[in-house]
Amino acid sequence: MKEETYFILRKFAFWTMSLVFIFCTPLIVFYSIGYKFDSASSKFLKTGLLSIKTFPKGVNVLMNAHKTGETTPCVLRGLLPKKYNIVLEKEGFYPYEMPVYVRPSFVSEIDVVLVPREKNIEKLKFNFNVYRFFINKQFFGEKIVFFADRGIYILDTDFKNVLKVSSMDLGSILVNSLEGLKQYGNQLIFWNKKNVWMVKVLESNSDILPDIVPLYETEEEIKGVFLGMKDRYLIVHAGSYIFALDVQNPLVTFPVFTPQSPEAKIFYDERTETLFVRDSVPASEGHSLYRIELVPIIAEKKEHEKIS
Amino acid sequence: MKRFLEIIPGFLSWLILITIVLLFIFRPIVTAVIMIIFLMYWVCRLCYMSVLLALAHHRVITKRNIPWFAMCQKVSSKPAVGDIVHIVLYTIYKEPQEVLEESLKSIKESHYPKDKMILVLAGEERESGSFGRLTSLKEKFDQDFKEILITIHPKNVIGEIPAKGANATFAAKKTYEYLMLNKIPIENVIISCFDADTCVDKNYFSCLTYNFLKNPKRHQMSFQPFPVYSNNIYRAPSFARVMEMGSTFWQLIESMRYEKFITFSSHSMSFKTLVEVDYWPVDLISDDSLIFWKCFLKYNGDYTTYPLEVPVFMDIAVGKNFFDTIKVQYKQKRRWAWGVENFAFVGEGFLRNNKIALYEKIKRLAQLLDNHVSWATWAIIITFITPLTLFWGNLILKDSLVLFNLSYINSIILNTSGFILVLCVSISHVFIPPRPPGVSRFIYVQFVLQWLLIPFISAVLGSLPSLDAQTRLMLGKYLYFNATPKARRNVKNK
Repeated sequence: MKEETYFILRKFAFWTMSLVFIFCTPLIVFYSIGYKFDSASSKFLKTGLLSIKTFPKGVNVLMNAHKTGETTPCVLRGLLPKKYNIVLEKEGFYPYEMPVYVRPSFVSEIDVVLVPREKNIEKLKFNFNVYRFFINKQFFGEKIVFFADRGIYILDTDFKNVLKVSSMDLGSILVNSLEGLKQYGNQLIFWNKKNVWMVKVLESNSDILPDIVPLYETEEEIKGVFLGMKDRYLIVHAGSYIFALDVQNPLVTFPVFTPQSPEAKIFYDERTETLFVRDSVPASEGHSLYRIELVPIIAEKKEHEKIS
Repeated sequence: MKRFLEIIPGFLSWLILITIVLLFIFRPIVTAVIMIIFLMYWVCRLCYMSVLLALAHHRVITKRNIPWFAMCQKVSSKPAVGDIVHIVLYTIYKEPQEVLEESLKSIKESHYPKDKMILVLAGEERESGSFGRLTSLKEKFDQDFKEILITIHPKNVIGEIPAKGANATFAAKKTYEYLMLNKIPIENVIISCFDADTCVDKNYFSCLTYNFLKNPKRHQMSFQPFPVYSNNIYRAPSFARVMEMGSTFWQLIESMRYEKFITFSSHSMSFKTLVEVDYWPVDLISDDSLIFWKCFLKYNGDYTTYPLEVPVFMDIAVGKNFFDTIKVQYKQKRRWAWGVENFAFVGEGFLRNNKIALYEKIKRLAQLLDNHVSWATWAIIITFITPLTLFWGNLILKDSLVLFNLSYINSIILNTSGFILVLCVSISHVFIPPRPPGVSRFIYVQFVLQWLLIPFISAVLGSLPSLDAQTRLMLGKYLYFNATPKARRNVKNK
């Protein structure tokens, strides 16, 4: 190819790109701002945009009862500013209908989750009489702890794995009186207003199961139970006392704080091992907040035990 | 006036960057519209440059291996091919001996009569033992050429800076004395000023001679080969390979824009012209491009650069390790970007010259300014500012249609860039030398994947050094010549 040919081709490319820039840029800018030429009125009209996302994807979009031909996720451009009736349809799901107001130069967003028509219903394959269940949050997801006539069980949320914790039937009345349940490591602790129990959870199903151990019993009302100090102590708020109870040796208890008022409320922050108490102020009618770091209290107690 | 002209490029680059950021904070919608226009401009420009790259590539592959010497002999001109003498001037400062030997060997192996070639080894007094080193080199190649001259540029000359231009000028003046002594007419002499690592293509001198002979305005023309940085390509880190291949591509693209093409790095020209313009500048760093502008001013705008169809092979700037290579690359690119000093030089020259048309002056200055300001800003805008704009826009004006469309257009641009990358990968393949023994064939996968680094590299090792150079010039903190370290760990690449 001669040098002149390269020159001509270069000039052709230059002018082509220059013309593309000169003519396309204003159109793209107008389009980006939302302007659209309306052939009916022979005018430029300002339009808006509708962005539709759904779960699941691939949902048909109907606008004012007409099929748009789009499936989600999709963007409907150049819409004149007005109210539109949007219907989202997918086989196996309830249709979702909603009005949408499209504003000029703005993006209107729809983000919906469709509800399936048919639900998967699965019954527990064992014929237990389940009295009650608790959701037990763990580091890797959640487990269901249920109390039944044949004992206490831990169940995966997908119903696939069942672990028997205890064979003891606590009875419907007692189980329904339970105030709370927590699992710390391999210890399942549950309580009602008068008692706190603990049962060890084995890692796999076994014929010999540990007994349910009563940790604490009181005539007064148990208002709160927390586990702290490296999961070793139960912080119990019962009646007018707040005390720590060694889980491995329930006979060892020691006071943490003595509230002035029977209406005192407590919260134990397991992360910082700190107890917060809302209690009345002596010689005053008001209440205040108390912050008690448990680590030094328990350390002092241990030191005292060692010396004595 | 000179200071004023030195301030303009840096001021303009910073003004563009700061204005975009400030405008986005206070007028995000207006900025989004500006960004859409800017991105459209760059898509068009990139497409245009891709066409130029494809054309240049076609020109090179179809013309590189034609029998240039036979064509030289067919040219009926005065002087004839037999009258032409080539001066090959190597400026040398601390480059390893094996690098120099490889460069001289390439000249020895070129398809051109060696009895018409005089080599000038231009050493520096600043480098201890330079003369001894060059003498041993001369002894090794003495029989292969008409003559090998050794010059040692004295240090601390008043009015000079320690730079390549000063050394080359000193050597060229000594060569002039030699030519006069031997009664060689300087109008028949072509001088090629090469970096120490420049290895020529076997057809380089034939192609150069042919184009010199056939062109009636041979003394008003420089001859520019396209530099291929491949001597140590198998030993350089990916980012450095991409960076230097980008430089080759840029030269190829520029070579198609004849009217604005100027000399860069290793180049050739008439010795007569060089003497007439009083050689290369001795007090400025970017001697390679400034020599063009000196000639342009001398001949009142009637001076051009001819893009030669053959390459010269050079080293990729590498350091002792990965991070040192980043540093070396950054400093090399900053030195190249220091070519922004041309703007003040040319501006001043235009003010003194009344024979160049005003339109030509404005066009040339605008082209220079556009080149340098674009170099310093566009990659930063596309790589950093646009994504930040989109991110920030999503936080403050999530439902704005313009910002939504800016994101859409940005994604189209990324896709367009993808096509351009495919073109780059396929063209770069032509310039990669055969794989030396001991290098895994998986390196070819790296050669493809390395192009994905382009957006980041073009900002960090493209725009930032340029912005750095412009800022220094703007603030009057002048750069000193920093010789790029050369190391050839694998000399059998070609």
